[in-house]
Amino acid sequence: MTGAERIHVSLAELRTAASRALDGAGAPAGTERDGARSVVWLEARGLRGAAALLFDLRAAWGPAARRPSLTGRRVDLGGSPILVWASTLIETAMLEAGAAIFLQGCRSPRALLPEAAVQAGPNLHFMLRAGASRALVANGEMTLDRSFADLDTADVQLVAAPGQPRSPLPPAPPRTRLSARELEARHGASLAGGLRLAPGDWQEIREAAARILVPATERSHSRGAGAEVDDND
Amino acid sequence: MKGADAAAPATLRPPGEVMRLSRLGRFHPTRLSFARVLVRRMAREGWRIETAVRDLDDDGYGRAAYRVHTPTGALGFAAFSHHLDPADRTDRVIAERWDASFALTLEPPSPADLERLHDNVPRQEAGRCGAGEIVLSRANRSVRLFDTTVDSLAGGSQPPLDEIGRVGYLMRTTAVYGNGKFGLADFEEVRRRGVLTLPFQAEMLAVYLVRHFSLELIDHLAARRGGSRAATLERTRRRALGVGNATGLGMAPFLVNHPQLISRWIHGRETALARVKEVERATPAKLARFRSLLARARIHVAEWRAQADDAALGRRLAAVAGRLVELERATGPDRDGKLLSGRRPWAALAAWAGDDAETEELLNSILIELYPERVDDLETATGSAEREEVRADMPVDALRRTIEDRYGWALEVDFDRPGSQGLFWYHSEEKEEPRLGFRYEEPGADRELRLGIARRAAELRRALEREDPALPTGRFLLANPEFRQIVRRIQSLEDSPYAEIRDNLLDRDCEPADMLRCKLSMLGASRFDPKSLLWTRVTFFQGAPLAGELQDPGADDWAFATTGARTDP
Repeated sequence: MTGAERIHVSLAELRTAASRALDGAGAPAGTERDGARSVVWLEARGLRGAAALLFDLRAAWGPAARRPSLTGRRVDLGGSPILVWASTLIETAMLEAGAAIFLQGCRSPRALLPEAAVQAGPNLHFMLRAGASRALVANGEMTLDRSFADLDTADVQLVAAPGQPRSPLPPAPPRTRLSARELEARHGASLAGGLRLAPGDWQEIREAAARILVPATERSHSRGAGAEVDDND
Repeated sequence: MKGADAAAPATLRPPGEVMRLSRLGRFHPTRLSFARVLVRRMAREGWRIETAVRDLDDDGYGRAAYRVHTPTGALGFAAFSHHLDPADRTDRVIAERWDASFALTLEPPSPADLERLHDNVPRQEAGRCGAGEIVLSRANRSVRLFDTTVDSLAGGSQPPLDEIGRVGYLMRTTAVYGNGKFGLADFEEVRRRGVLTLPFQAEMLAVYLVRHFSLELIDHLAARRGGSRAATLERTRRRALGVGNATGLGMAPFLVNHPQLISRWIHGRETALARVKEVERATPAKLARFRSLLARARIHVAEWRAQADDAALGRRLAAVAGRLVELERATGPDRDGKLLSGRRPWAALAAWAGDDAETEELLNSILIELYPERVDDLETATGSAEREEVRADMPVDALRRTIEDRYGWALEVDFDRPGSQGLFWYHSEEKEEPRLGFRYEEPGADRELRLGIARRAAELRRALEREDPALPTGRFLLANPEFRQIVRRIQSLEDSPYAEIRDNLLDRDCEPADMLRCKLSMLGASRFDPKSLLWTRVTFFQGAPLAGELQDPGADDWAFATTGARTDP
């Protein structure tokens, strides 16, 4: 699909719709906001946030899927919607203070990056690995293999390590890396020009968001909801 | 801020006193309200409004475009005036047709832009905005005032001043959308451009320009209808006209969902008030200015009363009017010794108001108005990078103690009492607007918005009591994700003392109109007139300087605007 065929959406608009869509899908209170923030963070940097959202929304959600089980340092995500859990998983890694945690069956591993970026600072950085694909999130810096951004489902090793990384990611062809500067430039361009989504994707997100809406009733109208009933002053 | 005692930290009113609906719902606009701050900035920086396009027919239908020149570049404003069948005229947000529609743009619109806007802006929610547009709005002509004003002017006479004062506007907006809605530019981008950097400045500018357009439109119509006989609306009447606004519940969840922002707003207001109350002695000039503002406020309240339909508000305003008369007598030039000549006179004034919150908050607005040199530096303190985070390593015992320390007001609510959870908030299918339902009588509670902060805080505390005190919060949340929202909120608001409305918003007796008034007062609206539990009518920019008067001496002196048509209490 060409850019001209895509629909213009603001970042705030996507954030609101994603939050409502996750809420409507059953995300526990507060996780929908984390998830929506991640969707926008990714989409604004060209890392397919809307696609991650749709991937999660299309998954079958059940009570078991909502609560990943933690055994030792192994988290069985069991197909859980990653956008709902990403922030909690990053916090779990932080509590392990440098030891790796292992995320089994992690959908859209790139969804871990936004919260890692929020938490990374002078005294903390994150290393993520899924097979041969890697990502490094440090204070104001993020470098990742393009293949990491493209993963649908993978087992992920996640480390929240103290201090700054001793070395950058192992050498790799430059074309496979997205630098922090490039990611920020993409974000700036998205802010200035808005996001461009496929109309079908946007429609699907909007329909998912509509699940939280409540039909108007005669009673709500009669009480004056939506302002006055016959206001002609 | 100037003055020897300016550096001393001011003693602020405690959140437990301020953050009650019964107090927030008595707020009046102050010189720190966003509309006032915007007009001062426009004046200070020499903003200029230029008409670029005016293509209106004999009925006033057509389009207009304006350039708003600022030191950092020109903004644009497009106005479209349409025929509206009287049967379609309603101020409900769910309406689909309006008399006029507007867009504030990052740059002056080109002819091609204007065509695109013409295709979309009149459709409002059904249209699509671009990243070059900042605000989308619409308005209806006032049935009470618009046509009669045109008739008077077309016949060569001015409309009655008291009628202008009673209505207060030619047009009334029913929605002012910003921050990315319907494809509009994101606030972050608007702020990055450097012109409209504070919250709601863009929306306030759009409303100011709606007023400007409505005044141009009325003169245009009078001239077309009356020809050489027609008069133009004279200055006093122009100044007395603002823009009406019908506001529903959409504003109420904002106060709950942006606690850090709200805390900064209220903190700024309370800091201003505390600085004034710490003034040791009132100079003769300040006393004279106080008397002048007090007299103006009395007339303002009288005109407001004449407009108000809400009986409870009417009774409160009647009481305020009586007390202001009493205060005028007590603080007249020959009576100062009793109340205002001692130490810390303005603190004594607050004590004089006693438990009458409506009067006290009106006086507080006067006090803030009295000392621009002490408070105006606070006008840029309204922005806030809102960031809420979970502190995963906090032991749950520390979190429980935090709740007991700061959410005692919530723990005191008896949620087993009938009615204590009688209301639920939801988003309606109609334009996705927030609404309020009765939990046990209407469908939709399963999709309620999470605005019951008091209830959630109490539930979290109970859950934490069952945990190992040393358990890290992150571990607790992994097993109990349903508490993530309230945990993050409580942990993030430690430095935001005025963040929480300290009432149970689910209680059947909760009055959302109080929340609307709080936020509207921060924006700068006046003449609040609740029409039901669920919506209120207000006026913006009544008394504000006109576009050509922004640099005039005294242009900023428009608090408690009056028409001057009545002077009796």
